[in-house]
Amino acid sequence: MVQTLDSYTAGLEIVKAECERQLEVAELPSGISDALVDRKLIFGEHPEVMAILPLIMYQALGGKKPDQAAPAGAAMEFLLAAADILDDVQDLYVPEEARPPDRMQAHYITEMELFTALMLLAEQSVVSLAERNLPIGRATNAMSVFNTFKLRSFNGQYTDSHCKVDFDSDLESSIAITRGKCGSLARCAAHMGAALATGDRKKQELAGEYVEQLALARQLHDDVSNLWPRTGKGDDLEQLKRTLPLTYTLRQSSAASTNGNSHLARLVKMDAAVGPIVQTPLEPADLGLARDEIFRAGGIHFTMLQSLKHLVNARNVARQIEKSVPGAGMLERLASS
Amino acid sequence: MSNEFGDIDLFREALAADRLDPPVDDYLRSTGLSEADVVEVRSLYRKFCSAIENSATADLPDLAGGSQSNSTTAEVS
Repeated sequence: MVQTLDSYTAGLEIVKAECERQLEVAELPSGISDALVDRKLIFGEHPEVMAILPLIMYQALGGKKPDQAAPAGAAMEFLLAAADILDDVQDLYVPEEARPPDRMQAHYITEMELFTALMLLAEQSVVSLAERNLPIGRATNAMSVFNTFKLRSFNGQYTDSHCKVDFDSDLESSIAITRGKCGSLARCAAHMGAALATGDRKKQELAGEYVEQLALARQLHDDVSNLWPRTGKGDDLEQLKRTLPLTYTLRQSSAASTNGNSHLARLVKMDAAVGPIVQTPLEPADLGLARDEIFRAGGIHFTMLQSLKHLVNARNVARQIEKSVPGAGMLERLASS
Repeated sequence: MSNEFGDIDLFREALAADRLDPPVDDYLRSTGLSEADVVEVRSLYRKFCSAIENSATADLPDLAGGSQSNSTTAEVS
């Protein structure tokens, strides 16, 4: 049994071993378990830090046996992989080999089976916390947290996919979508770890708040990186997602009475007739002009400033946690990295 | 506007005053940040502006043609 979590790698090993154990217990059809591993849906090339987060928070709040929090980490890994599949389906992403029409149906059936298997594995993992000899009530509390935030995360992901930027978009709704989709998952991971370490509800809330602020900072930074510099992927713009830079720019356009004349506004109008989810094919030149417009309107600067505010908020919450839990300084360092 | 986004007009004015290195302190104060946090956010923001300055020439050569100033030399208040 691992007694302390002294590095990211150590945490990764604990969660990976727990995922393998959960897969064994589940006795899934080999076609499913092989696909999960072969496609690197779990523990791929870029393991999710959120899967390690329950262990980090558990230890930061005084937990002594990281193994006890391992099922929470495994539950997060499975939940994140399921969310990735849903994300790809919502984005209409189909890999090259599945694009011929006669393979498309099989592709979507497989995706649905994998998504279901991952959600069931996540449930199985979190329920197995009851076997970890935790103080009475801690496992139940962590399960309750998992149920609450996985639903919030699904709501956020649904809204993210179905709400494009439009002339009625406001800054609050844009941030609410980011908070729902990314903040909920991060908060789920941290709050579960905290609930396993302590029965103190205030500390649990602070742990969740800290990570939600970090997740918002990171996501808003990603929203900027998606658009800036020009080499950024730009797919948020292609899909006209209701991200903060796009919402801010469209609001500026409306405020300046150029509503309908700006490049971004024209793209939004073109897209309006198509409806949610379905992507309008937009010309690269139009996208380039809209990207420049977002920069000129201040959408990049404004979003980055909001990202930095959330980062500083996270540091402040980390300091609050440290006041009551000596040794939790690692949280502030995490927010500084 | 009195929410977590603060007074957007102040941000707009700061940006118009100097696109890449705007004096954003008043705007940050309007969002309810403490003075210490204002200093910290502004410091981080300035690093971001420097990064933009370094990449702007290569990545967005047409920006200078915009209606707003492209200066990077103003001091942050």
